[in-house]
Amino acid sequence: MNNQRSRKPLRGKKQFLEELSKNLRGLSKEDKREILEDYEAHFIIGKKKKRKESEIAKALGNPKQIAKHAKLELAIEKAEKKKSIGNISRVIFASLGLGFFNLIFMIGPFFGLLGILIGLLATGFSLTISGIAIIVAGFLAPLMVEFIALGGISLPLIFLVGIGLASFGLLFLIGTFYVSKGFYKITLKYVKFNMKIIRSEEE
Amino acid sequence: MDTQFKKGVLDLCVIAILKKHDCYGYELVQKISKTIAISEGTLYPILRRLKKEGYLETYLQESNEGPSRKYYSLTKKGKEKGKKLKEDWKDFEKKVDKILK
Repeated sequence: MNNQRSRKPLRGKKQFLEELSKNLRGLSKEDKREILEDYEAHFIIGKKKKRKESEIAKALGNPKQIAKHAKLELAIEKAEKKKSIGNISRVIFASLGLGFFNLIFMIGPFFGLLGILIGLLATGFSLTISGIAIIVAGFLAPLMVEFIALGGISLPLIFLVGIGLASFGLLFLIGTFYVSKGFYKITLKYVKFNMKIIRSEEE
Repeated sequence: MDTQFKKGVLDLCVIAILKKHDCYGYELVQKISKTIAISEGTLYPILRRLKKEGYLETYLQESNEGPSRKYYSLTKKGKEKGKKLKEDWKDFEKKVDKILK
C-alpha cells in the first residue's frame, strides 16, 4: 500500500509558523509580523480549547499556500496604489505560484499584448522625435547649407510636415497611454477575480 | 458549494457575524468553518483585507485565559457594505430559487 502520505511528519505550531515565516520572505517587517501574529494567536487559543497542535495546523491549511496568498494580496494592494511595470510584474509572478495564470493560455497573450504596447509606445516616440527633428532641420537649413540638404522642398512645407508628424506622434502616445492604463486595470481585475475563488482542497 | 465559490460570500458571513457582536479571530474562524468547508487559514487574509479596506477595525482586549485577544468590530462603512452584500445575496437567492421551482 502507498503510505507515503501518512508517513509525512505532522506539523506542530513551531513547524507551521517557521514554514510560514520562511515563505513570507520579501514582505515588510510589519506585514510579516501581523500575519504571523494572527496565526500564532490562533494556535494559542486553539490549544486553550483543548485542540492538538497538529490538528490546528492541519485545519489551517498549507502554510506555503497561505504565504503565497498573503504575498499576492499585498502585491495587488501596492499595484493599485502605485501604477508601475515593476508592481504589476510582481502581481503576475505572485499569481503564477498560485496557478492563476495558466502558462499557455494567459502568459502568452499577456506578454504578446505587452510587446504590442511597447511597440506602439516606440512608434509614438519615434514619430514625435522625427517630427521635431524635421522642424529643427527646417530652422537650421538656411544657416548650415553645407550640412543639411532639404532636397528642394520649400521651407513652409517642411514645417508643415514636421508639425504634423510631431502632433500625430503625440496623439499616438496619448492613445497608447490610455490603452496601457486599461490593460493595467484589466490585468489587476483578472487576478482579483481569481483571488475570489477558493479552492477548498488546497494542498 | 463544495469546491469553488466566491469569497464575496465569505465577506458577507464575516460582516453578518460581526453585526451581532464583536469577535476575535479564532471565534470567527470557528463559526464560519463549522458550516462552510474552508481551510481555517483562508479567513485571516480576508479579515486583513476587510480591515485595510476600512470595513473592520481591531482592538485588543484582556482575556481571562491567556494573552489579550485581537477583537474585530464593524465600522460604519462596514455596516453599509454588509447591507449591500446582503441585498446582493438575497437577489441572487431569489433568482436561483426561480430556476429551482
